[in-house]
Amino acid sequence: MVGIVIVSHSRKLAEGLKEILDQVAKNIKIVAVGGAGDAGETLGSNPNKIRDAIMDLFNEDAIFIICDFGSTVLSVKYVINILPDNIKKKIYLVDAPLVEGAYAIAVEASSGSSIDEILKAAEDARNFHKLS
Amino acid sequence: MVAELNTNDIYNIILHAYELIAQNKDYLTNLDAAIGDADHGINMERGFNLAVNRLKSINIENSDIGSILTTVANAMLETVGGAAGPLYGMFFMNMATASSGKRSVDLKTLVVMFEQGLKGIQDIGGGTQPGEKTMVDTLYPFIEELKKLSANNNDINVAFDEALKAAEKGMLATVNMVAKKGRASYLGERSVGHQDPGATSMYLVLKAFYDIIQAKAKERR
Repeated sequence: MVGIVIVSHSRKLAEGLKEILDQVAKNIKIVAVGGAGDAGETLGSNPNKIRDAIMDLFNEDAIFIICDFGSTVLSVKYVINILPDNIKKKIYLVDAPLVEGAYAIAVEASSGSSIDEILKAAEDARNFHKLS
Repeated sequence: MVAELNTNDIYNIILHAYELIAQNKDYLTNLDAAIGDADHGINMERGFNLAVNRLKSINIENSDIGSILTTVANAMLETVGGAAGPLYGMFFMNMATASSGKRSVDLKTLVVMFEQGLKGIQDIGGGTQPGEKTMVDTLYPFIEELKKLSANNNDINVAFDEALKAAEKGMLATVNMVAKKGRASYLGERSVGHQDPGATSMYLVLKAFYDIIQAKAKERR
């Protein structure tokens, strides 16, 4: 199965997004990680917490990671760098807007789409229009 | 003539880097307030503070340079919180790998360590090049100068003297650059006129190397 890691500067943002995704993708494991410090008490990122979040999903066939921007992206890239190869090869770092991208991944993954299909849906989320 | 740096020198460099960062904490934060999120000095001070506290509790005599720098890398990663955390974490981690198991390093090894450190920053920063208003603008010319001088010279003191001048020039050049990376890049042209906080903290780290090397050179005279 596929797992999703949501990474945000804000723990609340990551957890709120997980709440939305859990509703549409009940069969997918989703981990939210956000904020700096031991408990995400301040805004920012904590690479150790991101690593723990990824390792929570080490049994999944594929791990999709989606970040908000800036330091979360750098932190995720750092963590991927230090992970063992057997985990690293399962990871797909997605270049897409956080909410729309994560939603697309969750919907595709929960309906059993292939990794390529999930990736494409996530990247397409960048062109998602909500007013037309 | 300083032909090598040993574990204790590297330890002293980290202690001194903490001093320089702490002394310039408000300055770094003010630079960051102009084009970022006003936390760079606070974050860097917190990272080095943890690094120094951890180093003070280990036996330096029994440590190698790689393990000292690994401690610094982990402290930066765990506590910095902003983009500087993974960037400096990667920088020190790669320097640590290049000096793993070594209790002393010569100029040629130092060049490799800094090259690997730069590579780490570029790897996670999306291939950051000079001219993008980042810490690379300080580090890149520093390494170029160091590399040039290491070709036919083994004196670390001479090499770092010249290289630090190049680093300072690189740092000052960020004032006129348009930011291409990080939060400052959202400002575009409006980022011109402000010195980059990351380029400045990198200068302080390199100056910590220089100052300790200078002190070592004087001792030997």
